[in-house]
Amino acid sequence: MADATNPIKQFEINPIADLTIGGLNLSFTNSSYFMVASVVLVSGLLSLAMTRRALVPGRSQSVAEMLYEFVAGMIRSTAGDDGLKFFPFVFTLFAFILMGNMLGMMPYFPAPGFTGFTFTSHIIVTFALAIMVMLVVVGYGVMKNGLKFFSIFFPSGVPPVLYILVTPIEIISFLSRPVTLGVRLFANMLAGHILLKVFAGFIVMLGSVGALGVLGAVAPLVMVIALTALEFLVAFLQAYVFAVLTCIYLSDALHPGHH
Amino acid sequence: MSRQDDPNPQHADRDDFERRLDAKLEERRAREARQQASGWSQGLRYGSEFLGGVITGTVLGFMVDWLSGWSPWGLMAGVILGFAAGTLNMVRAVNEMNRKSDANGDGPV
Repeated sequence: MADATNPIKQFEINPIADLTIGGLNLSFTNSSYFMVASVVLVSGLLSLAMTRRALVPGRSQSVAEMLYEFVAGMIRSTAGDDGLKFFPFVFTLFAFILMGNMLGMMPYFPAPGFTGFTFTSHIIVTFALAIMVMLVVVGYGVMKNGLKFFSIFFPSGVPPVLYILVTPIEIISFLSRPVTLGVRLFANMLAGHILLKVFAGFIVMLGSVGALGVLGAVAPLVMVIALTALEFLVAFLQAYVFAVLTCIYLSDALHPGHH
Repeated sequence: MSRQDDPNPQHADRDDFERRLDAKLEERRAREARQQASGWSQGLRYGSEFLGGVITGTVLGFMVDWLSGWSPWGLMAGVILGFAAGTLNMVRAVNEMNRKSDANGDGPV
């Protein structure tokens, strides 16, 4: 009963296979399980959808093509046509996060323990993804533009004296990007799932009170149904926002000095 | 490929159709994008931009203190600069959103 209504219980990490290397706990956990499931499902479903490659696409093929068009259009509109060389990177990120968020919407999943889990609701996961994006941006920016990449810290049209003040602010603003990127995805998923569980808990509590309680439980039930729909929207929207921001940051690396 | 030098009239038809379809889709996407930017998601966006700046500035200031022993000056400078960076982030996010809605043919939301 306590577990059934505990809204934090769903975020618990349970090791599936214990593994310790050099004093580090590298166990294969339910989080790892869902990440592997996400990768396998995305690659499997997409290759399954593209086996026939018809000129007039069938249902599954048009879904796969829509996904492609969606990401390609997003990159073109934010980073320009030369941003398309990052298409594999952005598409992988988008598909991985989207599938992770959607898997998290399943209350039960064929996993050890038979419970659902959202790996994007852990800040370390989203932060690692965000850091990876920033490493690609800085790495590619320095490789392509050399030291000119760092001109984003020295905005044009500012008197040189003010660089003492402006440059630290710009550097902090740049370093805060992975923080914002990671925190936004994490906060949305965490808040949404806690909210769902809290309202679902009300149903259980009211339902155990008696006939009047069962009648009262209708209100939170309606709320949970509405919230579930909203959560599906958030799950998609946050994957989209993550991918769009990745494109915007990549466009900084492609053409610095276009603030 | 232009319409005239295409030997197959069916292709030209298809190109024309695709162009019209693209225009329609573009229009529809722009409309949907406007609807999606709900108050909740916008607020969360601006909030996290600001929070990210302050957190980063504070952590950096704290690290400077820890490495150089200038406590508390590094933390103080870090918090203030982080505040400024957060505001800058937020102004940029607002500008970006306004630019997007200007491109769609209506004023700032």
